[in-house]
Amino acid sequence: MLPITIFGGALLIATPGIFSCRDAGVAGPMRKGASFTRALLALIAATAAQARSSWKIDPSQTHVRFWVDAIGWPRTAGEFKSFEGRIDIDFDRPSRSRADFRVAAKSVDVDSATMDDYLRSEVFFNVARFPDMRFVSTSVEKRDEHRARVTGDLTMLGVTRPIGLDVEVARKLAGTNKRVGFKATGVINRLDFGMNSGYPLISDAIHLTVTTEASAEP
Amino acid sequence: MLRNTREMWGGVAKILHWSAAAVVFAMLGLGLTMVHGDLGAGAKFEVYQLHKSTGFLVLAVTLVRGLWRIADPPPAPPAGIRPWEPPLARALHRGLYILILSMIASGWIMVSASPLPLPAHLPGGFAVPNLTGPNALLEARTKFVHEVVSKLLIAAIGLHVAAALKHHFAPIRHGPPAHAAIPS
Repeated sequence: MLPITIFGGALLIATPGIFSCRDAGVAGPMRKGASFTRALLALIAATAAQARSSWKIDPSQTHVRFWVDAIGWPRTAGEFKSFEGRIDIDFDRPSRSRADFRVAAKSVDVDSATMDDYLRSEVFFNVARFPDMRFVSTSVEKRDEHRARVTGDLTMLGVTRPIGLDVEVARKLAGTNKRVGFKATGVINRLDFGMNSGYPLISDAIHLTVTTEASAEP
Repeated sequence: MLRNTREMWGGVAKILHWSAAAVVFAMLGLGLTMVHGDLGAGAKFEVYQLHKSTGFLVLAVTLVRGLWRIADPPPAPPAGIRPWEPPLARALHRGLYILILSMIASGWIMVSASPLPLPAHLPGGFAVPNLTGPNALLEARTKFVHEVVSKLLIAAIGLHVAAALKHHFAPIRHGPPAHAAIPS
């Protein structure tokens, strides 16, 4: 879910030349260069109509993992196996990039069918009533060449709250198969979403790690 | 012979005895494993749920066994037994029933009182009803009872087994150990 947003940041980091052209272009020739670069980029991204391009998540390289601690109980770690998402990146203005990621709550997997069923029940994810969790990015803030801070709205159990994620970016932009990989980590306070069961024995802090790779859509 | 005779336990009593032994040993094994074993969260969860479900099997076996014990009087103490032995044996047998029923009661109340709603499930998915609402203090107290009684039960089973083996391998001076539940 969360991942996508990162792409705005990823590209920003991955292609600094694009941004510098835009910013530098005041004089005639420079402006021309900038326009050319932008046009080329748009061509590559196959979104000639606008500066926004779409990137596709590779499900085989994507993992939405979490862990939570509890008193008198080993750390519970698991992942969500079913998700889908869209990433649209604006190369000129990363803040206009958008990520929209949905995770099927019922796809929770903690390596125990019995416990999975329990997590799906109304005590925790209540998947019958709230089948999806959704993350929609709201901002991307570049930290350094390989890191970004991504903020977005997470909807879980019907409650929407902002969450922040720290994102590490790895770029593979050479060749024809352009890919961006990243690892997003963050902590979600489940009480914010009304998931109160077992608190305080079960911690309120859900640690989230999303790793993914996305390729440029043809 | 299904019913008890004056000298021997009958087939029903023996089957019930060994069924109870099997489920009680299984429960002690599961209980010790889930509490002290080095398990991951998922595996631990599964063992806990299995322990809770099996607890109701113990309840069923114990009730049937107790009723059969009332309906079918046990054999008389063998001739030649020391006078203090029958009352001691009776006390230990009653103690075993009481300890097992205490384990079931404390376990069921503990699960019922847990602030985290997680009922036991019987085969078929039927959720066992709770005896009480969430109550963290009651849960903590019954948990303590469950743990202490489990130790007492293990000790009582140890005595019971020792006594049974003693009668099996060191026959009473003036009579055979024909009434023993141990299949020969």
